[in-house]
Amino acid sequence: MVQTNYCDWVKMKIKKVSLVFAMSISLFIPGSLLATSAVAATTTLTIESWRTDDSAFWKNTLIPMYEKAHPGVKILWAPTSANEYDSSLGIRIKGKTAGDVIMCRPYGTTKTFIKNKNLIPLTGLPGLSNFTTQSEQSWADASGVPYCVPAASVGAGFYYNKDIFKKLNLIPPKTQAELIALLDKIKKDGKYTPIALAGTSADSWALDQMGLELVGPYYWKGDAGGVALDNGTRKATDPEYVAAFSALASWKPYLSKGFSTNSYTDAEQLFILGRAAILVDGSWSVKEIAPPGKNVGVFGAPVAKAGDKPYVQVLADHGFGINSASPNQAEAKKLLTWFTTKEFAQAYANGLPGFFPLSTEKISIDNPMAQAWLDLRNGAIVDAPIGMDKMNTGTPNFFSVMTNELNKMMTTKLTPEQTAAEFQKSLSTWYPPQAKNK
Amino acid sequence: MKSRNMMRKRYRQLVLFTSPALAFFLIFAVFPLMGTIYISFFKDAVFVGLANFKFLFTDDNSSTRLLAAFLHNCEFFAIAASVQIPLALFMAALLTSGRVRRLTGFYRTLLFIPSTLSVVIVGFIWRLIISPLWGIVQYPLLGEKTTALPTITLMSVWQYLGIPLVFLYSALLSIPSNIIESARVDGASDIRIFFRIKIPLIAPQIGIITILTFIWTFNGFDIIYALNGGQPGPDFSTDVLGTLFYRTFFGWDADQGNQNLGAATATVIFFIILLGTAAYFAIVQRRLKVSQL
Repeated sequence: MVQTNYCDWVKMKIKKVSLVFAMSISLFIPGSLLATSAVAATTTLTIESWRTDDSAFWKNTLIPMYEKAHPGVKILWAPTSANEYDSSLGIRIKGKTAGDVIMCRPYGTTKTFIKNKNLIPLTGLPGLSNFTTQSEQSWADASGVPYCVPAASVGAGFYYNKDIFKKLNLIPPKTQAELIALLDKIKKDGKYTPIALAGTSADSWALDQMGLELVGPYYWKGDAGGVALDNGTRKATDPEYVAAFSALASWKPYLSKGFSTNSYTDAEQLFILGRAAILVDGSWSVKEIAPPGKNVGVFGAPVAKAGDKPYVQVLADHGFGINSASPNQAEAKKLLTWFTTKEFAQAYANGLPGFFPLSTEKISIDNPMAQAWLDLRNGAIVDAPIGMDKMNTGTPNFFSVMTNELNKMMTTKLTPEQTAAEFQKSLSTWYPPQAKNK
Repeated sequence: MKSRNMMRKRYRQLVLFTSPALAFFLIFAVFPLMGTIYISFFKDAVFVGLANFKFLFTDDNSSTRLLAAFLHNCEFFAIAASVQIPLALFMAALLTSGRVRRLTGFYRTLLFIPSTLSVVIVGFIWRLIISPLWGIVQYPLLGEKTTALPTITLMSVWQYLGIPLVFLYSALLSIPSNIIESARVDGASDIRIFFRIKIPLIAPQIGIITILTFIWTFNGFDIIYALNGGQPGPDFSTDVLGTLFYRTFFGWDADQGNQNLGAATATVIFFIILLGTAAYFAIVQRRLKVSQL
């Protein structure tokens, strides 16, 4: 091919390409016009959440249910991973790019949003009467105005492998002394890890929520102990708190091999594979830990001494609020109203077994293991975890210090007394009610 | 007159050809960097001068964390430099020695493969391998304060061994064979040739690799975050400047991020790296003359 021809060929090519380009643009323009006109007719509501595990349930069940009944509304489920949720949502709220509906953490973070007027008050929302004031309290401001529709609570406790218990002739313990005796028996047998629990520093939240908060209330007397710490009338080095730390530390000889490197998933795997007799976990793991056909049972926190009334934690897990920067607040209110209905609560209870609706409506629970978790609440004193409400707002916050100290106590030689002292020292540096208790 | 014209033309070409790269560099490197330094002087949109830096260096909690993170970075660098570079040099020497003959290409590929893996995968695999529960090591390496950071550093060394290796390998290959041959004629042993001829010839490249390792380790974040999250334990023993910055800027768990304080942390990290690199070039690299052949 000669040079000139080549040039012509290139020019022709360019013409052709630009023609195709122009055609494709002309194809796109009506398309995008159509798309915008379609958007104008429907409202898209984005839901912010940390429950990445529940995506399938939302996309396949809940969202179609709502969209079918409410044509013209599209719901976008946009979860962020749990560890990053609070901080990244905080950034999105500040930048006014957060979704319309916000899944609310109980206490701390949500209270900050309420204080900064990032959520709108839900006074007068139809359907809120389906909840007790107590369950609304986890997401309310100081004067009791609710900002989130309570959605679900969870509980923590112990799963046990019924086969191993039968083989070793054991029964679920009633008191903490029985628990230790039982763990000792399993250890002597030598075949199984007596108790599986998360031990890595990254998962040390488990040591607080599923360790200290299980055994502790018997010593610090439930909510009274939490309030006393919040007010500064008692300090963490007082005997009742040290006793709680000691009760958790008494599990130390019975933990899994290489405990300090075992993550939460490792602990669950150990139990699922039948290598651990007991797993400390929560109702939220029902689906993974006790699928149908697994011979697994549950027991609640053993009491400190025989005859005590059991404590059980009803952990408010999540609610739903409305972003004050959202342009679609009217639609969002309608969605939240649906979240208060029995229809929603019933679908939620069976779609996410282990998450218990907070609605006062009568909800039936299909999953027997989830029901077993719920039964733990019968005849028990209900209490909330300590520290999460008021002490979680400073730097370093309660939770990060507490989990770090508990991790040190369980993986090093740190004694319960030293743990309490270290914790108190950190708290007194910034938390005003505790400042005098150095 | 004519030459002047040509000079001007040349400059015009120079500007023309460098401007895309320059614009790219200004927009994506210089501008964000200046922006970071700029916002580090503010607190909630109010100008506060150096208050954020003062807080970083004097507040009890944050100064302890900053110092600890800096020392962990030094440890990270010291282990990475003292293990990775000699190991890479040794491997490169083996590959160029002709001992592995036809398998050179195979080994070179093999040693480079880990560098192409995702850190998340590398962290996960190694965590399983050394887990007392599922793996082959009976000691909780990642769970003890003293061993956690060296263990993570060695994972990183394992992963990125290929990069200094390829670098030094090509440097060794570029040594003219006539020098080696004449040394051999003079009766020098392989070991002597390696230490007296090859190493001095590639010293500038070893220097560059050292300073690159310094920059990589002080910017290190990914493998630690992948393994231990934003509050890397046990008891902050694997917390480096990168994770400290992340926690300060974006927040972690219930800790809300503080963009201004985070920008101040990033500025401190930038100056540490800048000073380290500048000192290295001023003191060491200048003296490593490329040997004239």
